[in-house]
Amino acid sequence: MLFIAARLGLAALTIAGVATLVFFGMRLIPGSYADLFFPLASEADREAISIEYGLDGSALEQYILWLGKLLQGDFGTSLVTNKPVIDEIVQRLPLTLELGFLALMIIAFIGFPMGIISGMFHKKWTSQVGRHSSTFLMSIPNFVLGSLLVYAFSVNSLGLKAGGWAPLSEGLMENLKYAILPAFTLSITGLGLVLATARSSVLGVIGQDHILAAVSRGLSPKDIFSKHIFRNALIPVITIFAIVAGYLLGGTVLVETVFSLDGVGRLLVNSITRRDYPVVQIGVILTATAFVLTNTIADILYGIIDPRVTEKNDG
Amino acid sequence: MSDKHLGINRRDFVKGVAALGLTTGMLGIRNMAMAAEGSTFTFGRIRETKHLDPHSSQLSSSWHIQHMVYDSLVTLDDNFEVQPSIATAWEWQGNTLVFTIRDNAVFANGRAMTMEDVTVSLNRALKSKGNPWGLLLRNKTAITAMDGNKLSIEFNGPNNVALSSLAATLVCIVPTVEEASGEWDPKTDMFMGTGPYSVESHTANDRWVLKANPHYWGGAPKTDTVVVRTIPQAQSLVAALRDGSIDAASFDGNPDAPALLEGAPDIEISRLDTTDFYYIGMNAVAEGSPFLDKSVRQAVAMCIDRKQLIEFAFAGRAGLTYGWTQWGLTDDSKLPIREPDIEKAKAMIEAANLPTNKIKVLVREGDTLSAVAQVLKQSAAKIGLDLELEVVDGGVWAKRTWGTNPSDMQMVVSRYTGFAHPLIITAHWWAPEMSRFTKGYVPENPEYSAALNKAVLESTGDEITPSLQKAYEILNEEAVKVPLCTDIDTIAWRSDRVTMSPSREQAQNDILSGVETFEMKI
Amino acid sequence: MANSFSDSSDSDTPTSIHDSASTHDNGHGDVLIEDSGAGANNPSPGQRFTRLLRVAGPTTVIMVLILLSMIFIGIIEPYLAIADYKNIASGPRRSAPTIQWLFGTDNLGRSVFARVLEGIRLTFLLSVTAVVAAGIVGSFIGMAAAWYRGIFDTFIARMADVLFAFPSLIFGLIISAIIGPGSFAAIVAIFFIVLPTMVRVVRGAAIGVVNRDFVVAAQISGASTARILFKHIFPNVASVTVVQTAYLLSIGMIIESSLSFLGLGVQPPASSLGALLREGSAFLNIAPWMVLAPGAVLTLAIFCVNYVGDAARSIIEPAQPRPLE
Repeated sequence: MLFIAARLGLAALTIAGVATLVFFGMRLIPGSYADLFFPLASEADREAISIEYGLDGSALEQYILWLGKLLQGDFGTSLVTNKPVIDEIVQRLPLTLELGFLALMIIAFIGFPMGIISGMFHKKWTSQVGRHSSTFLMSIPNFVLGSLLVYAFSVNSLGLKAGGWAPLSEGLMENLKYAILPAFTLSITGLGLVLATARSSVLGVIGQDHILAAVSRGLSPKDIFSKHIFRNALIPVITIFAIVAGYLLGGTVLVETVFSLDGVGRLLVNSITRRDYPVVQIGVILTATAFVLTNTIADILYGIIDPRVTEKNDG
Repeated sequence: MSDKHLGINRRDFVKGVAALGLTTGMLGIRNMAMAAEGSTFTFGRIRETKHLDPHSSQLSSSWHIQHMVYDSLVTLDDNFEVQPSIATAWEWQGNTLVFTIRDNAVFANGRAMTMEDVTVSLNRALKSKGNPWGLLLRNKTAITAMDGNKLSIEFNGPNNVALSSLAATLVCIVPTVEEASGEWDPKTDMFMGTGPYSVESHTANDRWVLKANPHYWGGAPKTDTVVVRTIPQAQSLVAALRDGSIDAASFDGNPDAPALLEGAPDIEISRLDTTDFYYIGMNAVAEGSPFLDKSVRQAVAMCIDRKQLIEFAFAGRAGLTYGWTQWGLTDDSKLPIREPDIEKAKAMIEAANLPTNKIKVLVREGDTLSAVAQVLKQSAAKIGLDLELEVVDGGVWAKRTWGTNPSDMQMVVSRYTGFAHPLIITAHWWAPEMSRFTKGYVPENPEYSAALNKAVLESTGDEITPSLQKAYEILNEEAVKVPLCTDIDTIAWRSDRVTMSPSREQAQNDILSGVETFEMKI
Repeated sequence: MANSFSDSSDSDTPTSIHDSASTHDNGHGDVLIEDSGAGANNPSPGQRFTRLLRVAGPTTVIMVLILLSMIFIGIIEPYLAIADYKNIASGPRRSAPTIQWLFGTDNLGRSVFARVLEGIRLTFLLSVTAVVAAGIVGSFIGMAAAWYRGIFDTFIARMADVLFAFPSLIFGLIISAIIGPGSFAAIVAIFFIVLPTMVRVVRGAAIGVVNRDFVVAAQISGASTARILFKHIFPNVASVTVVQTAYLLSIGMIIESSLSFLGLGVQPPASSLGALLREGSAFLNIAPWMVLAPGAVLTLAIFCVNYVGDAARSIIEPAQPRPLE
């Protein structure tokens, strides 16, 4: 329990660090909100605008003020649209979450089995294919794959849409038509990673003494697979899976750009260029929190599975 | 006295094009009976609206939406002639401009517009932060509502830009009663005016949903809902047109739009000429800038290969201009610096004996601007100058060019909105003592200011053009800001889904001009 | 694109997935430990090379050759005659690939082939600079953290956590906005994005070494801290550093091209592969070669780096010794 508490404490500390970094980082960017939106206004007018939007005073003062509000659950208001930041984000979250979820499904149901197969038949060509294709998948930048898909499907759409979006409310099939290509694009790196991990952990297990012992005991291959190999291979894959899941939320920026989607990733990019500080701050904190939490959960799971971690952890 | 002299005689072909537009418009009228209840017209464009308060909105991306929602006293037709809008008639009585205000204008919430809305709105506009219209109406003394729906704007002398400039959304009529009561908040995106549409909802960077104003004085709009979607890539705009998720689109001057659209069935394309233009600015104020030396500026102006620029950066789709003369009012051929003269320019650079040949160029973000800058870099290399391009977002660009004095740049590449008349804005942008924000890189030039003031405030009728011509010759010779070419946009629409006659000539980015007459076929 | 999978992309060694060396440092030396100069047998360089080739296998050799030729072409590219075809108007606009225009021309009439060659140079140059810098700085910080422990170590670990948790591309965008877009911003962004991984890995490896007898002996004999760090600890973490650098190089290339794809890396007309993809994406339907050529070359380059990195690891760190139970 103490271990779990310590882990959560560290997670909170990390998120606080991210919050601080993004706050001051945004304020280091030249050109303030007033400069950007009222370039023709006089110096005095721009000063007045800064006061109106609460952007006056030193960065430190603003930081303390912002942190105080944040801790009370006040996420602030977008400077550009004057809507609550949380609304701006929640509005776009379904798209980004759905892409992330679908990408995870692709990774789980394609990457994992492929990795297991490639590991099981490690002396055969399947293993080599598995090894090379995992490296290859991890080598394709997702915006390259995305552009390629946009091009290929603009030549022959096969009923799929490369660009744009239909929300789930318009029906699952309609939604999937739009979601499948960006989700696949998003999954590519994780796919390679999980494939490689599953493959190598199967390889690692197969050579171990207890498997050899099980074989010599005459256990059926089916039992060996389900009782020994699969279970052992699962543990590292789950960890990797958690890490990939944590990254997906922050990893959609380019996919959303390539497929012209209005998700959280593009909101963040647009908000940086518009100096919409409150949106960037909350968006980054949210993304970092997703990352830290999935990692913390993975750590805790790992600690439960492998008690040595809790004892020796010195992080 | 009418302001007829401000109406510019456009090239003949424009008139032909306008006539063509008229017939298409009549076809629309014939189909009126078929107008469906609950019809939705979806329009796609590249840039998202940034500014919300119409009286502080300085970017054309905001005007796209605001033109549909807010009315100004007057409006412009495709020949840039002033046409009635909120004002049904006008006349000069000495130095006072008297408008007759329409009595059937109603805000989208159902409240009838009053004279007070008009006077309060105009005063509000001129006081708004960063609204440059106070500069144009600088000799205004009073705005008064009079009996019989008359509005008078008094000046202490002639003002040749007044009428035409009142067509801009920067001086539109807003619901002032609702502003006072808090029902209309100019800081939000819930635009509401007397125009044909009002905003129902807005998702930033994605879409604006506008509902028809049933009380619109021009008659109820043909289409109930207009959706304006922001799709940042031309490629995706084309895909959306093809699959029918949008009915029409504007390509923000993307020169390859017609090629992108080639072969798409049921798509009609219309060329939209504008007075907007690309220009370079050279810092003639900041200490250490190579452009303090006029001959260096002139050498740069002289090396520009506009033919190559238009052919490659614009795929031939841009209007050639050498000076600030793109309205066709003044004479390009009399400008001192015109065709490229590499030998002479090279000699001038050598004579200037610059400590370094490296020049930092601040380029505003955008694919076309970046292409323009790259062509310029190649032109300048021929006279021994090495331009180092830095492409930055609008915020940094504005901060370093306009918000810093002296400007934190040596050269800039950007685009200006041209408006309907050269006197409206672009001429003023050049005079730093008036426009203030260019002080950081444009030196004051009393001779130019005198010529400009003469054209705006002292001349009448035929005297305007000679004064303007003189001003332009000074600008061209000074070579602090050098216009490169004018912008041509493309409007495309699905002819099987919508009947529309888009604007062919735009001076103030009213790309959905006449949207209330567009009609869905399905 | 969050792509700092690095310390987990260590595909064939699942034990090093997560804070590897620290979580699995069981005091028995999981990591290859070798005091400097204590090599058991010293084969001749020729023998070593033949052995290396045999271990590496033909595919790796091919990959190394591709990689080397890419780097070679990148280096000599500015001096080749073809560099002239990077000029605007050297060909027609958007010409499809022909014998004369191998990868076609772009919207300004420039040879895409010539620009891709330049792209190879810039992409490698920026990512190698940033990753090597991060490798050097990261090893130093990592070793120092392992050596001093206490507050300093905790501080470094927390900072690494924060940088690690920050969405990496957004971080790059903010850096680029602060110092202005360009090569320098790209290098700084890549540096900070890969640094925490480097620090963690080196620190983890170094912790396994600091308590070894030979280090303690050196300490007792009065060696200076700097001497201990560089003479005794560094040789033992060097292999980890090299392997990690190879991995991070591919991530650096992805970050560089991503930033350039968003318009925040190298500035026009300089053409990194990501910048070419950005320009080309506007013409995807009418000039697909503007995207396909740099996209294929970029993927090939990253694949070669990953592949060679994999091979390097399996040569430098042959099968992870099994923990002594």
